[in-house]
Amino acid sequence: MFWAERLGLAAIARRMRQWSLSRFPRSRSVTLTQNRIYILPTGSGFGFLVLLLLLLLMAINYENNLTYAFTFLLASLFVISILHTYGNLAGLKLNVQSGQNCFKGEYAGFTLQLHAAPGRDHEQLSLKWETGPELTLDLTDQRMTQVELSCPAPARGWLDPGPLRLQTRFPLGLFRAWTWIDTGLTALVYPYPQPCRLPGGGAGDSDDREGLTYIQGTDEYQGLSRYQPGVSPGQIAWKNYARGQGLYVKDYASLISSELWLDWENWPGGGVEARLSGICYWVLEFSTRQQPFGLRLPGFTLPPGTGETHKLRALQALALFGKETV
Amino acid sequence: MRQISRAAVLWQLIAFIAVVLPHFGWLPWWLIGLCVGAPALRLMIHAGRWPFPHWSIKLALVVAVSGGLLLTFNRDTGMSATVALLVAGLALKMIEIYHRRDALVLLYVALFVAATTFLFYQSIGVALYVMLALGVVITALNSIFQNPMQNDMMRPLRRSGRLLLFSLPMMLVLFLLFPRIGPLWSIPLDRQAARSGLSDTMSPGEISQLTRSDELAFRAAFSDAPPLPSQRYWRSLVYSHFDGRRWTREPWEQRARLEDERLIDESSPVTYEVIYEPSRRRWLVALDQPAVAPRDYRLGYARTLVSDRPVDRRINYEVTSYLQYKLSPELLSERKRALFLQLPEAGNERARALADQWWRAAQQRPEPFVQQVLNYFRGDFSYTLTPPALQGDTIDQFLFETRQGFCGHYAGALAFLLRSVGVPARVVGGYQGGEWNPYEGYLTVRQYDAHAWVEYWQPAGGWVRVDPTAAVSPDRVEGSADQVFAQDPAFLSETPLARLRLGQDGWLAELRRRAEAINFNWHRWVLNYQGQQIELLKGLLGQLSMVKMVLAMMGPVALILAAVAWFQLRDRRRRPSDPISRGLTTILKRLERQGFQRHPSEPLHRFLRRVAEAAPEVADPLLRLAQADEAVRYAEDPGQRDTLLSAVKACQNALARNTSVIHKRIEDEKAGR
Repeated sequence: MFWAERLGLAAIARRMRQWSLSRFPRSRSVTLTQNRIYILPTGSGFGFLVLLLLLLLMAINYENNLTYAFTFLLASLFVISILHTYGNLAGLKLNVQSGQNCFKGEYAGFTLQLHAAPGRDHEQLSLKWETGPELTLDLTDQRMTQVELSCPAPARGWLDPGPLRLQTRFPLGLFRAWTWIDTGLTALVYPYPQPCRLPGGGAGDSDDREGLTYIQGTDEYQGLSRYQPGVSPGQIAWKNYARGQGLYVKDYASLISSELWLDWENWPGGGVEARLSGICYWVLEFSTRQQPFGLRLPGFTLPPGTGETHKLRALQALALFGKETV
Repeated sequence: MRQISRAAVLWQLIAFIAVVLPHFGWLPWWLIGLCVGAPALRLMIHAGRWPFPHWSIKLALVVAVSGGLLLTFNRDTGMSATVALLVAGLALKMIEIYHRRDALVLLYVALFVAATTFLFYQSIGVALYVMLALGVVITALNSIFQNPMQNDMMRPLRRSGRLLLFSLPMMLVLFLLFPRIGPLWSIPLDRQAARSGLSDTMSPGEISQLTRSDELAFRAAFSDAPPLPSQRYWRSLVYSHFDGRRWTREPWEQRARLEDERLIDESSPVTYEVIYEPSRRRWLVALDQPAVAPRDYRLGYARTLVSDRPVDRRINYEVTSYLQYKLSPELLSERKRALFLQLPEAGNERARALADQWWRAAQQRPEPFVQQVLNYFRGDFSYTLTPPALQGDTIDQFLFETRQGFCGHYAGALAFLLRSVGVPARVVGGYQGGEWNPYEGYLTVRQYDAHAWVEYWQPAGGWVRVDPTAAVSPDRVEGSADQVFAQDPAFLSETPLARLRLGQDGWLAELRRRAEAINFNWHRWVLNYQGQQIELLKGLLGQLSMVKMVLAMMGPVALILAAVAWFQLRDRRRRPSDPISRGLTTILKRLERQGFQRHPSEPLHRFLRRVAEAAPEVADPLLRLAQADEAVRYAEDPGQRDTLLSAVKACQNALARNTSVIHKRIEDEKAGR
């Protein structure tokens, strides 16, 4: 309802959206039916009506029956195109998949699945969160498509992208059919990883690079164990795999003399966000090096460890720090 | 700004050309050049050969085109100047088309330009063409709302085809039911310059000008047989004033109302519908003698049919005429008597003398006098399209020297002779004859059928029609002008090609009449659908009212929309073409209705075995089917397909036969439980 917004009717538009959202419960799978599809002429649709009026005047004034016929054909087309625009959305099934966590300042992706109505094509469907880029796609040759629709993540914590707007102006741009869907999707926004020096109280004493070699040097190769999903590619014994021996994972046992702690209390200066950004950077850094680390935040302690889950728990704690209980 | 696809750019080009093409007939040459050049330029840009033109080039083009328009058109050229302006704008816009918004402007204006074609041309061919052009524009409109990466030219074509196809029925309903109102303001079309037709003066030779044209004058549709050729006198104008050379109408006569010319009918009435071509003049036609004026028109001076404003578009009206009649048999008023006896004081003395002599011989009775004049004409007078020019005393010259003339000469001379002996007389201008089209039952009257005859007044008898041409050339009245003049080089000299199609017999003439009949219906039912609308609606709805009209329009429109909605939203999956899977689908559906639900992960054969246990009536074929299915699916033995097919068939039949039995048993079991 862009023309409406331009006319200063934004408040009405917003209220209408609230109302339409309140009519349907949050759901992970939505099939678009007539009671949730709205349709109104677009600006160019009103332009078309003006054209029709001009043509009708011409027909009346010149008493020209062929101009009447021409006008009526276009008028019928106008009406029929309502059904085509509506049909372009109707029957479409939307499956809500998941939200991808991201770092502050990036775009969080939300995975959505669109299923075409049986035996029908959908062209030029536009998906958009309240903010963020619009994504336009066709659902013609394939019956189903999975898209990642992104939404800017300006702040740390849980990101609610708001209702999803699914709309189309196909086929003639005279009408815009749209629907609002409350997907209930959220994504976690981690602090932006800001490279910084590791404070003295931790392990990596002075120079990053030195710390790196030191830490890697402490790893001791233990042997191979069977591959399990979720292991980082860096740990896979590719040589063995290349020899056709199957997927194995190299086991390292870090000789941890002094445990590494990323400690909020010992972190040097800066505001809350700056501190979190620094810690976040090192969480990622240690995880890449597979260096076990612990995290200590006010009211939250994560004992030292490694692995994907460990990293995610740490990042989540950082993301939600001060926002709510973890 | 959204960019449009390459396919869409091509569609814009096609739409532009399709829309401006019919206007090439009247557009100035330089504008036609622009209409060809602009798409060519855009095509070069499209192909990547040339860049988009610099703004200075565009500015120069705009200036040049504006100058051209100002020079070519002036204030008085009205609609054609507007259309030319729009076409020029389209052509210029065409060059820079790239974004969706540009394309939208182009297409909306293109739709308008397409509609204006009908102000210039209205034939069936043009109508079909413009509807096609509309289709192309809609295709172009669809193409700009498609995926910008989509370059399939056919895809928008299919979509717009479907849109338009579904719009046609609704258009038809609107066309039939939408009330036609008169023009809100009047804008005369400039393109129709003076057309050939009767004029309000008749000098000798005036009418023979008309025989050079085969332009349509009007057509008249009869529900029964048409009047005999000798009765086809189409009355249009009456000339009452003679200045020694020309017969004219007094200016006041044009606006005069019908006065005391009372009509006494002496035969059954003939009712017919006249489809009258635009003449830019006020007079219409009616068979001698019209009874009452049709709606919107009136009977004017001397029982001629007139319109209050010049006829600048094709009109139709229904008239009733009496072919046998008496016209104002009472005494003529003194004023009228003087009017119809008016002659110049002097001149044409020999003719006056001859008339006196005949008048005495006829014992002062008009009838024998007229016979005497006609006999005189039958002598060595000849009927020709190219009579010698007359100077001075034209009547004398014609009667005694040249003795060659067209209908105007004979009618003028007869009226002169009658007036000179004191018999009120007047010259009537109109058309005589018409070609009968047997397929649609109408007469076609062309400009070359223009004719002039005489009416004289006698006590008791009233006005009597006499056609002196019939005396000189009976064929002209009994047959048709084109038969009489077929060999005359002056005939149809303006349209020499028309001679070719003039044959009266043979398959070519047959074909021509059929084509004309189609055209006639086109004019009558489409172009002039207006008068019939009210009749049609009354027939359908009875007494008309606003509510009824609205309901009549809403009903069909709702029906059409429902049909379109169903078609648009239906499941367009095809039924499986393979007879086995089709059969299986039917079987599964049938079983489901009986309450046997197949679990999503349950193999078909296991499901069938489960059903067979529960429904012993059809256990046999079900088990056979299960077996065959297993064989085909797991043994991958293609030879088993026939067995499977027959098993499917048998199973279908068994189910069809036993449905009610199974149903009843299951119900009983439920009740028992």
